[in-house]
Amino acid sequence: MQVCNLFFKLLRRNMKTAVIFTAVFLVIAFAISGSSDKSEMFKENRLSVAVIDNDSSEASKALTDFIGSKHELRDAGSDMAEITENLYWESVNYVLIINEGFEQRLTAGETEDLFGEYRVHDDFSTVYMKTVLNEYVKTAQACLAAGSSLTEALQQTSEAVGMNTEVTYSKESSEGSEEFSSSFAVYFQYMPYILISVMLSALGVVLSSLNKKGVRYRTECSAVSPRSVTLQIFAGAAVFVIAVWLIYNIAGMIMYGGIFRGKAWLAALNSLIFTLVSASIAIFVSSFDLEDNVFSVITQILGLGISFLCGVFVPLSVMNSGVISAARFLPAYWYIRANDMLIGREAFSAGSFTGFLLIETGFAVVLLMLTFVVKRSRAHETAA
Amino acid sequence: MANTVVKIDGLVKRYKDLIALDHLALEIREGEVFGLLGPNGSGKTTTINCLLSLLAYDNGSIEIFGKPMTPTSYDIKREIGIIMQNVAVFDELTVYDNIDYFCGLYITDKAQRKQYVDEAIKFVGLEDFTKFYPKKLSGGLLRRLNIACGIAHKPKLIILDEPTVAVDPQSRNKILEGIEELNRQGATIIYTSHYMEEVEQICTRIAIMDKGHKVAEGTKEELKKMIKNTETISVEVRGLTDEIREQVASLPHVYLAEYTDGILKVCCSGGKHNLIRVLGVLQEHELHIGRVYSELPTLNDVFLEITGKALRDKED
Repeated sequence: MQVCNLFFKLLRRNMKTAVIFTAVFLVIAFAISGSSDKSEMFKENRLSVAVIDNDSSEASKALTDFIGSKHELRDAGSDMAEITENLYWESVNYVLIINEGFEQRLTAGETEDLFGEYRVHDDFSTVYMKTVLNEYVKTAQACLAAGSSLTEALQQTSEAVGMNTEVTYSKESSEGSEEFSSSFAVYFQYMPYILISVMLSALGVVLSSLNKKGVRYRTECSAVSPRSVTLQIFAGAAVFVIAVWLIYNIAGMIMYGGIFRGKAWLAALNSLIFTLVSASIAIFVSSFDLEDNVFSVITQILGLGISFLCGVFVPLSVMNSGVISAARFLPAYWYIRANDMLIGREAFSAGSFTGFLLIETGFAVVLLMLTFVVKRSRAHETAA
Repeated sequence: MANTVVKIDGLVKRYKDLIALDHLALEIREGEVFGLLGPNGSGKTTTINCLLSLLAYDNGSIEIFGKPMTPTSYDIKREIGIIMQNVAVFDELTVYDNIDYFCGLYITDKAQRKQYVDEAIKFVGLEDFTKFYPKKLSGGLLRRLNIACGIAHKPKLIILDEPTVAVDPQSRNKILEGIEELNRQGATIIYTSHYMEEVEQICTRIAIMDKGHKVAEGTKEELKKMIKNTETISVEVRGLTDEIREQVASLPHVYLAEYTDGILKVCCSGGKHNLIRVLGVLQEHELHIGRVYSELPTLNDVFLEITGKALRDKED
């Protein structure tokens, strides 16, 4: 197991970049996942509102009570300087002045000069309060027009405007399903980039070291058979590839909140096949005797290039048809197509999904065959 | 007579239309430092690759330690050490780990391997650098590490393929001393080079190769006896006329007399007192004589005479 031990020794020395890639990816994925969850919740905002009632009528008191039931009523003071200071320090978000004659104008169906205000310029609180007041006034005037007395109209208005409507968000087809939410899908969406980068920066670099002309020659001259050397390297690489896939999927499960269900397993399967594709890319690139700095540049170009072209960073639906045509010749495109099916961007079909996975596998097989051809050619060169 | 370690018979290797090895036959005996001398492209490395079964050959046979050498002759490979021209180590491993890894390709027993690795480190004098990574080592130390990686498993046959190319003179001498020491410890050495001085210095027997052929084989004395030239006399002299040069050329045992850039070069074949006779002719004509050299033939002369071309390219 000398060669296998060497594989892991070299891997330990070359893991730094891969660990950084993984850490950054997981941190960002967890952050995106967390922020996405919040965006799906609706919470009514309570503002700090000061009311200066210059009318002191039944209608103005009813309006003040209504505002008090929905927001925090605060005292902002009476003079201009004190009010400005409170607005500046955000002790209050909005100062409503109920003008004298409010009740009279309300019952007369007028909408002008009902209110005055002190506000922060372009603040959302102002827009929000204006909407609420507008709705209140219109509702009250509608009730009065319908024949209700002022007291009844004010009561009906408070009930109608203050009513909480139970809203249930039904996920659209493009938002995935319960077992594979859109926020979680982002995690699998970005996975090709991280898999290609990690495989090239760790596995690729290790294999490249093992493939360097001189050390390969020494190994070929040794008492260990080439078959044993290949098997030992294969065993080391297999352990690494499976470990990487497991780490990302276990992290995915933590994000998911438990063991995958339904389509999440299909996403995991898709990622497993793409992990093999990424490993094949790394194996292929490492079969050339490249300098370390060249290898590093290739890692960046392949990781970012394939990801950009294949819709990892930008959805395929917004991409140029020419780019998409070119992307068909890259494995990540088929990964993304399969992933899009799972999150509902495309209609799910078991046949098409399986087809996409087979195409990905085909890329891996072709890359391994090309590697074999390159290695044969290089072995001939070395011996000659 | 010592046992035969390597026996190559009628070896033919073709690359399409190019014949890289043309019925090559060699016999290397136990305890020898056998030099394989030839210019670039003469077939030295191809011979080594065939010897190690890294390259399939078209005809002939190779035996090592009395057994046929095949790609699966791992019992034979276990007894062979290889040191190549380029440093072949892992940059990610320390000096110790590198030697340990390459030794481990032959020696599986950990305790024995540790002992061998320690001995190899001591042999090449890298005791103070065991925890260093190759990139921190100087060129000379790297060469020593390269040698340690090739000999740590105590091979009986060590093949050195141009190990001193692009090496400074000090490191080159240390490498050559190391090879002689390995030979004293019992290893049979095959040393390929196109540096004739090195081959003359350390090799007990030499084969000269050109265009895939063995053009000559023997000890350096035997090789030098194969050629016409036994002595080359060079004299710095002014005003030498064609008549005087022809007089020198007509001296007994002189077969060539050239006068170029103020230097008279006289090649002799056998005979004694050639230098005295040449100087006598020059003094007879009262010519002013500067520096005088008398040189015995070198392997380069041997190669030049046998193949009609210089052994080493000018840039070397």
